[in-house]
Amino acid sequence: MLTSNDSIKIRIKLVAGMAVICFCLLAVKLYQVQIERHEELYEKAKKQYTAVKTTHGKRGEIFDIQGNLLVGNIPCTDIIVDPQITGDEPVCGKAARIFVNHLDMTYAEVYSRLSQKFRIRKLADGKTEKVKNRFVVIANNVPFQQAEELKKVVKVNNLKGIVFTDTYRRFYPKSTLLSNILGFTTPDQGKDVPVIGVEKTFDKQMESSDATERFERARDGIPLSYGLQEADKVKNGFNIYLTINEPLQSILEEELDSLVVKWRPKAAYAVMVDPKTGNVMAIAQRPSFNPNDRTSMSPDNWRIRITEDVFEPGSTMKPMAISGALDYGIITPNTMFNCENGSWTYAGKVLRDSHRIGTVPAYEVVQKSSNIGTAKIAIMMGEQRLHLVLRKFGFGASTGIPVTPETKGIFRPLNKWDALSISRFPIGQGIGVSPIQLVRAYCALADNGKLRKIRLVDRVENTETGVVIKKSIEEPFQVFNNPATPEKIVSMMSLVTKKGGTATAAAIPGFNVAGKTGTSQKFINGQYSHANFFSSFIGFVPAENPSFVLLVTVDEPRGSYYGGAVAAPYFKNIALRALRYLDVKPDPKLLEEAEKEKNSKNTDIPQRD
Amino acid sequence: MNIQARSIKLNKSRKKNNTRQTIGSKFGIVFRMIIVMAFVFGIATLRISIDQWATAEDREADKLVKQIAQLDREIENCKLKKEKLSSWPNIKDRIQKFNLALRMPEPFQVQNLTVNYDPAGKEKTSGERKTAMLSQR
Repeated sequence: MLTSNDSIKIRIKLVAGMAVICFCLLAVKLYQVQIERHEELYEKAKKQYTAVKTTHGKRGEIFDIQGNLLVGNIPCTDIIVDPQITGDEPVCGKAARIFVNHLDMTYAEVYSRLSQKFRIRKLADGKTEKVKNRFVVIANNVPFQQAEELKKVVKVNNLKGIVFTDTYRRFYPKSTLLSNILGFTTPDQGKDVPVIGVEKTFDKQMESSDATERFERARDGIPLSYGLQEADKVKNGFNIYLTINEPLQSILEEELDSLVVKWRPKAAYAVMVDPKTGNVMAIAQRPSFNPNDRTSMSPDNWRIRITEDVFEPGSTMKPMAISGALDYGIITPNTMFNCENGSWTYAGKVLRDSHRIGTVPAYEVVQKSSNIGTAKIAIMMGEQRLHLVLRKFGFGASTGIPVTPETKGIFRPLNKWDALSISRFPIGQGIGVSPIQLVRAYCALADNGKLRKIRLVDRVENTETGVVIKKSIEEPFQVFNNPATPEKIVSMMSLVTKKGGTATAAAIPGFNVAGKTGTSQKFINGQYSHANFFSSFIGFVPAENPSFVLLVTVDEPRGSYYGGAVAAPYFKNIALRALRYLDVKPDPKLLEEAEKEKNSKNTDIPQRD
Repeated sequence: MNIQARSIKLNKSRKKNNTRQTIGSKFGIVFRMIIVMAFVFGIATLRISIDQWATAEDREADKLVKQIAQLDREIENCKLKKEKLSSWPNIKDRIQKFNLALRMPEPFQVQNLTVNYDPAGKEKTSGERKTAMLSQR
């Protein structure tokens, strides 16, 4: 018989035994959890209380020389939903109605996205499986104001599972202004991928990098100060300051637009460069595009014709050849030339002038744009010298403008010249130049023969340190050997816009305008077309101390084709407004002369090449 | 017997002494334990309250960071809006819309005032140079 004491002892032993067993089981479990599955469970727990936040860096902005913003980053929002949390059908319907009121989307479109609780996933073996859908994009790049309003409405209506992610989008506040040179980017997986223009050339400097921040978070998601924190540093891109002057750019584009309206050409370009620095002050082309509106974009509109396209410069080439002859001392401005009354045969081919001229001094050859006179001057120089002079002016070489692609033009090496070359190259036939090459050569004429590289970027700013790196102006190359040559050629070119010249329409009262018209036939299917022309005027003002060199080229104008009639008036309009903006005062004497001339009823020769 | 009686007496008196000592020492231990526990409790409470305070501060800081980020975005948006509105095509449209009889000043009506706004007098970049144009009519 067991006494009560024995029974108690047994029960105590049983309980103790069970406790020991439990303790042992607990120890085993503890071993499993703490030792065997430590890594797995630790990672699992860590995932729950560790949050990862990605901060996007801002791509560098583009400004003009005065700090006016040309390209920026506009804040916008991506709207993402978790259909597992959004709720049942009536809630999804309510949410869809709210979205439709604020976004440019249909009800069906939004509702289908909100209620898409499952999706089909393809497995590696080709089979499919149904998985829970936890990430659906409702809309990307929703404008800031719109997104803010929507956020408030979502909060008021207590809609769940909707996440607003703050992002930035590339934005061009001046729309079409300078669009061809600025280029554009295209969004690809949250990154801005540059396509063309400054955006592409300076992508390395402007690109940003994202930063990832890992932190231990509280239940409501905020970072715990005493927890683990790891963060990369976000890198914002550098800002680029162009040499462009926005007000001048606006003037140039406005006038180019009115030119397009009047002459309805296939294309038109205008370039304004400061000859003393090589700084591009304004540059535009038509057709163009609005980088904010992707629907209007086509490669034909966004390619950079000013650096990419080649055209025969026609008579605008003459001052370069003639200045070479002046520099070698082969001719003086008063050397007489027989211009053969408009028709002359050389190397078995007839060369014609647009108007008949007899024997005239060299300055009149420039003023009246005689092809025959210029060819004779070039023949006096000889092939080697002519080749060297044109090379010195930068033809057949890149201009230094930091925009790709850039053509070097078509300029045959000396050993490939034929008998006709010497009579045709100096009048701009058989030679191909880009508009920017032509402007660069004229900058050398305007700045005492100093050939400079074309500058488009003035400075680069590190947005984090504030350090500004100024792009240096390189030493120019001296084209002329004789210091008297620039003055002679400039005075000859000034006659072009005076009474008896081919471009009186480019004359500006109170200023000496030096320039040259150009009308070149297009070379189509192996022969020169009589219907398709390039009409140009290029010049600088004031001739004695130029503020800028300006080129206006019209590709296939309709109605007329002479450079003096088509391009010269727009040169005048742009130059006049630009001079006023730059506050370049007119010469009172010249102003008085212009007034007198206006009052007298003298007639000029027709505006021709 | 006497011896027994004596020894009993002795035992009794010893027991009484031991009990007194045990209670005293036990109370001392308990007291010390209470102090230690109170200290531990105090430290723990302090730590919890510091953590709570830190969390509250974090929450506040996070709120401020979010507000700053929001303001930054608003500023960015306003900056771009301003740039858009101050572009020449927009100004031209407004001039036409409101039929403003504006015209360019004649060259001799313009005087330049250079405004030096940098007190440190450091070299200015062209972007910093501001010129006020005063047109006299």
